[in-house]
This record gives sequence, structure tokens and C-alpha cells, in this order.
Amino acid sequence: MNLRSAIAAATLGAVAILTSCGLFGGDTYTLSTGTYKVSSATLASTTDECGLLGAYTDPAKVIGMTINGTTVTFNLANDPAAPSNTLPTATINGNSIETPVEANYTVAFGTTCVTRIHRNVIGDITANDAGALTLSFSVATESGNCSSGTSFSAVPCTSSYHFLITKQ
Amino acid sequence: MKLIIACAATAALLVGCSQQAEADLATCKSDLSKAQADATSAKTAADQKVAALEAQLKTAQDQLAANQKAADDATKAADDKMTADKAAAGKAAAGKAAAAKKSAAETKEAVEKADVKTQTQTKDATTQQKAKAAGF
Repeated sequence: MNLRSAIAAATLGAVAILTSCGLFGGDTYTLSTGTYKVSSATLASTTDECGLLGAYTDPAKVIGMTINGTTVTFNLANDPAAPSNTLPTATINGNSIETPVEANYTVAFGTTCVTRIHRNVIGDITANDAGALTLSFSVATESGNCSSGTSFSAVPCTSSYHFLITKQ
Repeated sequence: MKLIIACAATAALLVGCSQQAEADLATCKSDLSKAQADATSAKTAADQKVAALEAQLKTAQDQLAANQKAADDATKAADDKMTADKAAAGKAAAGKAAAAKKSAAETKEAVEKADVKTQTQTKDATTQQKAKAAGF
């Protein structure tokens, strides 16, 4: 083996090692706009004060996601009529869903209680049109008496859920 | 002669009688003086007792008057307090009613401005329904 062959072999070996270590970045996956099925939901906070984890462990649970450039908008109720300020967004950076912009909105339950909700979503893209997300939210009384009749186990409350998504 | 003897005897008898009467009168005067002294002493004692009783009566009357005044003052104070309490309670109730009214108005406005309006959730609603109602 002459010197040139030895250098070429060493270079190929180094590239192979760096690639295996992910130092060349590995694969970058993409998300596309659509409806995503939720699975494997678990509690990411110590307790589920708000009591909605059951909605995310439901096999029928889906969420909507809109991708616009590097911005992903989460429509957690998959409700086309949902007001835009109720939808949290985040920035896609490689396979990371980061820099969350929280949704800050109010929900009136009947005529005697108004709650204010703050929520955000972060996570990772684990494959094309698939990912792992963490939803964090808090609920507080905005006005009136919210001791009963709301969607939540208690108000005020905070909860955080982790779940996987796959496009339908 | 007999007449002379009789007159002499009578005169002697009269002299004797006069002396006895004087002695009796002296005794009577002495007894009267003693009785007068006793009466004066008894009157003085009675006057002193009356004076003491009158003093006690005045003290009791003064005490009664003081007690009556204290009772009247206490009654007036209680009446005044009740009136003041009533006024304060009325004011507090009015304030509470005004606060409740204001709170209800604020809640009504907040409901009207809410980003999402939904029904009061019943216990029968499923978690999925509750989540959907709140945008989850």
C-alpha cells in the first residue's frame, strides 16, 4: 500500500466514524401540515392537577399541525374554528421543535366563570411526519367563580403531558 | 284648860305635818329631776339614732341614684351601640351587595370578551368532551 492509498483509507475511516457518531448531523426529518394521531401519552409533570391526561391517552385523540416555513402551529383540539390566539406555536430547528410561543387565551364556562389558559408545546421530530411532543399548560380564574363546572379537575392548576404524534 | 291643851296638840300636829310635807316635797323634787335627766338622756340617744338612720337613708338614696344613673347610662350606651351596629351592618351589607354587583358585571363582561365560549361542564361529560371544550 502506497502513501496515497493509506491517506485515502484513513480519510474514509474517519468519515465513517464521524458519521456513526452523528457529527455530520445525521438525517433531518420534516413535518407537514395535517392531522396527527396521538399515542403513548404520559404525565410529564408530577401530578395531573388539571385532569386532562385521559383525553390524550384516548386512542382516538388527534391534533392538527400547520407547518409554515420553520414555524409549526399546534391545534390541539383539531378544531378548524379555533381562534388563532388559542394556538401555540414553536420553531423547527433541525429535528428540534423549540422556542415555544405560548397561547394565552380565555375560556368562558357558562356565564359565571372565565378561566385564563397559558399553554405551549415543544418536542422533537423523530421521523418524517412523526415526533415526540410535550404540552405544558396552566389554568387560572380570570373572573367569576370557577370552583366547578369547568373542564378541569381544579382551578387553578398546571399539568404537562408527553406524547408521540404520527401523521394520519 | 282643855281647850288650851287641845290647841297646843293641834299646833304640834300641824308643825309635824308641815315638816313631813316638806320632806316629801323634797323627795318628789329629787325624783322629778332624776326623771327629767333620764328623759333628756333618752331623747338625746333617740335624736342621735334618728340622725344616724337619716344619714344611712341618705347614703342609700345617693347609692340608689348612682345605680339608677349607671343603669340609664348603660341602657343608653347599649341603645347607641345597637344603633351604630345596625348602621354599620347596613353599610356593610350595602357594600357587599355593591361588590357582588360589580363582580357580576365584571364576570359578564369577561364572558362576553372570552376567546372561547362553552357550556358549563357537567360531571357526566367525558374527559375528551371537557378537553375539546377548553381547546385541548
